[in-house]
Amino acid sequence: MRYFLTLILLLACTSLWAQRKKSRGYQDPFLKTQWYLGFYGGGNLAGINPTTAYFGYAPLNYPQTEIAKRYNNYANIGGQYGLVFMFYTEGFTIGLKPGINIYNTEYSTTISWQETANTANSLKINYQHNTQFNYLEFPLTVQYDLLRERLRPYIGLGGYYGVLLNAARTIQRSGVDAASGSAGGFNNQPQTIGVQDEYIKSLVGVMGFIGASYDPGNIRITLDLGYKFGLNNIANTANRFVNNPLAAIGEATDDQQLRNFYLSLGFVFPLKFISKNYNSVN
Amino acid sequence: MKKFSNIPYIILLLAGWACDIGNNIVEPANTFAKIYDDNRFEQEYYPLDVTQTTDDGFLILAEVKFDQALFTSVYVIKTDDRGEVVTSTQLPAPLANAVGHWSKIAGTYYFVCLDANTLASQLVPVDDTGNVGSPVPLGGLTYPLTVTQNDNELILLSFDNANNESVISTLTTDGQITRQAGYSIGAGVDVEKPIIDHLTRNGPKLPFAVGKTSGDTYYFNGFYNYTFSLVFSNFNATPTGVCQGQLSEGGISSVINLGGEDFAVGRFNFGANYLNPVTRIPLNSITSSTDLGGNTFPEIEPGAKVKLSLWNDNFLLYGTHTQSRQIVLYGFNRTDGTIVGTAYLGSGNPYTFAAYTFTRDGGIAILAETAIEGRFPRVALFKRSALYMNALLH
Repeated sequence: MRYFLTLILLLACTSLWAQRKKSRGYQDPFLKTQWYLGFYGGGNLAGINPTTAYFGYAPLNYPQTEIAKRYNNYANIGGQYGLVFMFYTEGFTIGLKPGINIYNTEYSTTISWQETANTANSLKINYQHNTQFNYLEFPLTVQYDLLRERLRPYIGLGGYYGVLLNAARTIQRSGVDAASGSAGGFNNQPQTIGVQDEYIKSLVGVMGFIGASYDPGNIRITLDLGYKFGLNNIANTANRFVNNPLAAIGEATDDQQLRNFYLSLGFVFPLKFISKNYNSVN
Repeated sequence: MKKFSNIPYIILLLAGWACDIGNNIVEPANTFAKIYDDNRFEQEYYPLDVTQTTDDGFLILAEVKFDQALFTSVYVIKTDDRGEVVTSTQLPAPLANAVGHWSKIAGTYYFVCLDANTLASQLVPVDDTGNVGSPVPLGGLTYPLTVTQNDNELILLSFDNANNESVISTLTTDGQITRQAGYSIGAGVDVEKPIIDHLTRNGPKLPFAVGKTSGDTYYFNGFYNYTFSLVFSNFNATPTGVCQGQLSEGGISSVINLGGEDFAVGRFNFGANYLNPVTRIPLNSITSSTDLGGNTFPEIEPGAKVKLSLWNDNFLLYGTHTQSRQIVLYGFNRTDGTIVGTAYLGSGNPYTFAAYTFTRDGGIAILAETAIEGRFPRVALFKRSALYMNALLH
C-alpha cells in the first residue's frame, strides 16, 4: 500500500509542477489543457518471480531440488482491455486506465520413483501447471510527449493496484509408467480447478512504458509497450497448506510476484472542442 | 455531484482489499502439510505416532513394509518446526514392529518395538535430534501390543503366545518390570488369529490401549476371555472388572479416564462407530461395551483408528478418518458431552488417521497415512495453529 501512496504523491507533485510552469507562460491555462476519454485493449506475456519456494513433499532420500518448480515465464499470451481517462497539459498526460487484465503463467514439476532391485521398474510423472489470473486493475500513469506533432512518441511511468477476480489452474499430467509394463508415455486429460484461495486479493506494482499517439482528427490512437513490475507477494500464505486442492500432488504455492510485458492499442477522444473550426486542442 | 458520492466507498473498499498485503505473513511453522516421500518404488510407509521435540520440530515413528518380510521395519523421522526432514533412520533388523506411542521420560523419547529373532519387546531411546540409541530389552516380554507413559514408568500391553495371555506390565526405562499380570485370552486358534493378523499387518489393526485410572487401577484394552475387552486390573490374578466387547468385532476403540469411573470412549460394534465423551464404566464389575451407548458416527470408516485426548481440561478431541478418507476431528464439551466443533483435513489423496499431538504454540500436529499417485503409501503430517484449535474447540 505504501508504494501506491508514494505514487499518488508523486503524481500530485508532477501536476503541481506543471501548473506552476503554466501560470508563468500562459494567460489562459484552460486553452492548454485537454481531457480524454477512451478505451484500450491488447495482449501481454506474464511471468512469475518466485521469492521463496515451498513444497508439499518432504523427500526422505533425494534432494528437494529434484521436485522444484520450473517456471516458464513470458511464454503464454494473455490480454487486457479497459477504459482510459486522461488529462493533458503541456506535454504531460496523467491517465487512469481501469481494466480487466488476464495473465497466463506456467510452471512444471517432475517426480519419479524407481525400484532398487530392478531399476527398469519405474514411474516418472510430469505436471504442467497453467494458471490464469483475472485482475481488475487501476493503473495511474503519467507520460511525457517527446514531440508535439500529430505523431507523438512518449514515455511514461505509473503504478497500479489490482483486485483478483478469479484464478484457475489447468494441470496436464504426463509421464512414463514402466512399472505397469510399458515404456510408452501417457498423457492424461487436462484438469482445470479454481485456485483463487491460493492467492490474495491485492496486486500492487509499478510500470514503465513507451508508446506513441497519432491524431488523425478528433481522436488519438495510442500504442503502448510496457512492463508491469509486481511488488507484493500474491500467494496467500494463510492458505498455502490449507484448502489447497493440489496438496495431493505435492504442490504448495511459492511466495511470488507477478510481472508482465504488455502491448495495448487505445482510442481516446478529446472532451473539449474549443477552437474556431471545432477542432480539439491537444 | 451526486454521481461521485460512491467514490469514497470505492476507495475504502480498495483500501480494505489492500490490507490483505500487510496481513499476508503467516509463519511457515504455524500451518503446514507435508508428505514424506521416498523415490524407492518398494518402500511403503505407515505412520504410527508423532511427538513434538524441544526445538519445536517433530519426531515421527513409522513402519516400513516389505513384500517378503513377516514384520515391518521401524522408521524414525526427525523434522524441523516447518516439517522439513532433518534426519531419517530406518532401524536395522532384527528390530521390527514398532508400537505407538512416544513416551518422554527425563528428556529422552522412547518407543517400543519387537526383536524379530527373539520376539522380545525392546525399548528404544531417541534424543531430540533424532539420534536413535541402543535398544533395552523389556524383561523378556514377547509381542508388544501397545505402550503408554505414566509419569516415569511405562505401561506395556504384550501378548504371551506361549500361555495365550494378554500381559500388562509396568516398567522402568532400564527394562525392569515393577508390576505384571497376565490374563488368559482363551484357548484355540480362533482367538489368537486376530492378534497374529494384527502383528503381521495382514489383518485389521486392533485398537489396543493401556493406561491407569486416577486411582490405583490400571486398565488395558485387549483380548481377555475370548473377547476384545476393556479390562481393569490391580495386578491380581483376576481382573477387578471387565467391559466386554463382541469377540474382535466390537469393543472400545479409544479410551481415556477422566477420574474415578468417568471415562470418555470411542467404541465400535460390527462396523458401526460410536463416540461417547461422557460415560461411566464400573471398575469392579462386568459390563458390556454395547451398554455404553453414545452417538453413532456413520461417516467414520469401520475399523478406523480413533485417538482421544483432553484439551485444556474442558474439551475432548477425537481424531479419526471418514469413509471418504479425510481426517476428521471432533471436539466435545467435557461437561455435558455436546459436540462443539468438527474439522476435516486432506483432499485429493486418501488419508488414514494415525495420531495427533498438541503443540507448544497451542496448535496441533496430525499424523496420517496417504498414498501418492494412489500407489505409494507415505506418511503425511499436518500442522495447524492455535487459532485453528480455538475455532474448533470453543
